Amino acid sequence: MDCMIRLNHVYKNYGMGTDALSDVSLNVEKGEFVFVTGPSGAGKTTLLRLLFLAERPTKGQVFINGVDVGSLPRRKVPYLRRAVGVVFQDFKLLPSLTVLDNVSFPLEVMGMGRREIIRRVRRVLKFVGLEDRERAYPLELSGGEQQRVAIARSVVNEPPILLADEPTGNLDSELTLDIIRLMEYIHGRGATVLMTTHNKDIVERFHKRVLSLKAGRIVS
Amino acid sequence: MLTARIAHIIRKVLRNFGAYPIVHFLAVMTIGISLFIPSAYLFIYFNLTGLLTKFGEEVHISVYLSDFLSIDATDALQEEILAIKEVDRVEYITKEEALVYLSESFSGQANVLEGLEDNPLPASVEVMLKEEYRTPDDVSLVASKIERMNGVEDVVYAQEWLARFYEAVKIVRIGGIAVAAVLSLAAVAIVSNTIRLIVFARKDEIEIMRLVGATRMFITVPLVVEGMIQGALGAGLAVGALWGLYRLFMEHYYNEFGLFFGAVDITFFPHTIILYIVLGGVLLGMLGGFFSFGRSIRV
Repeated sequence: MDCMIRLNHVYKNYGMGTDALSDVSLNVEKGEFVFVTGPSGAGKTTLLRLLFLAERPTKGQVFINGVDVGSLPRRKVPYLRRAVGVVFQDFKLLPSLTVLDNVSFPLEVMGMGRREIIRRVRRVLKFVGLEDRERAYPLELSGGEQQRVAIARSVVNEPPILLADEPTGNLDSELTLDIIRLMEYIHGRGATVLMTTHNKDIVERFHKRVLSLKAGRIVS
Repeated sequence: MLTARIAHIIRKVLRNFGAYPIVHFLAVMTIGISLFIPSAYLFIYFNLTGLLTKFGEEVHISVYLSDFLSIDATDALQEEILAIKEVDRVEYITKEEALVYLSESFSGQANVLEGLEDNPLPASVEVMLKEEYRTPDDVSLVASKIERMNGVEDVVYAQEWLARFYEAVKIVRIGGIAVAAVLSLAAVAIVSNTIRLIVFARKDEIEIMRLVGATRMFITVPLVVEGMIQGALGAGLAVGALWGLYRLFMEHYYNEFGLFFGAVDITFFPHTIILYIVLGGVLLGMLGGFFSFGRSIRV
């Protein structure tokens, strides 16, 4: 199997004493679904930030789809980012733009024509069950709906990798299950999914590979 | 691909004006104000120097001629005066003309001059200097040269007035540069704060665009185009406000202060200056667009 994500003895230090990540090595195969768990401050978010290229490792190597992130020139970074969809706990939607415009972003960036963008956005909104809300603004939607918009945005350009940083952290248990099922569905269509959570119920309920972090190290 | 990009930029710019009306309004207003102040100053400076140039034309030397000078000798004297390099033109005033001017200036009290049997006034030559030589030193230099010429009875010029006028010109010129420098600094401060405001308002948008893989160019171009439009609107606002104030002044107050301004017309900017102000606004907005990317957090 191809290796989609590979970390090779990675350290990350923000210049404040202790390492946020310390000697982390891992492989995620193409098409895997992995939960990353651990208490707050264990380094889950830092790990994800390395993977969507918001940070570079202090030491060690990060490979995404076979590309060594550390040796990638800065101007090539945007192109690699298009291979990675990201979902956040706080959704990161722009409140002044409609659902349609929010979800359009990744396709606009690729230089796609407007008509094709609208066609694809409608398709993905149908997929997340929001086909009748394209004209709505994020703050007119419930938390669960906003997260589904964010997921639609992260997968609209069909990236091979989907990262989710506590995507259900702001949602109640009913909505949490909806969101996880949606992620599973995306995974079923071929995406490699990495999701952080500190919700033990989820981890126990869905039988997936689990990576546990503690104080910047992988413990299991 | 390219048409999609251009269409995208146009769409994006229009959308952003709708999506962030307050940010754009503030940016336009700030650019407007920061351009209004130097524009208003430029306007005053322009008209003040116009006024001074007009006053400068009053700088002249009166050369009174001896009564016994022949016509040929008078002509020769005028030629001689014209040959001085500082002299722009001369005007000959006969004894009779001098009397007419005098009685005109006593109009209503014409009887003052009635008792005169002979015309006591001498013929004179009014000497006007070139603009660059209307300084106290040059005027007295020219006056002393003329004084030594044959047939010249007396040379008169308003020495004290001239010295004061020259001081006024100097203050306006030097003060002008100083005030312009201070105003430019103020404008730069206002604009850099506006840019900070724009950056802050656009931080999330730029962050998300970078997150989904937007290139630097893709993010910057619409920001710069928006900045240029803001700049043009701001400059339009500044010139428009100034023009409104100008019209208001001309219609309601100009006549009251007419005495102070003399016969000088107060004029608005020529088109080229307006164009420069608008270009200045566009440039400010453009810089704002560039900087808002440069200062945005790097995701």
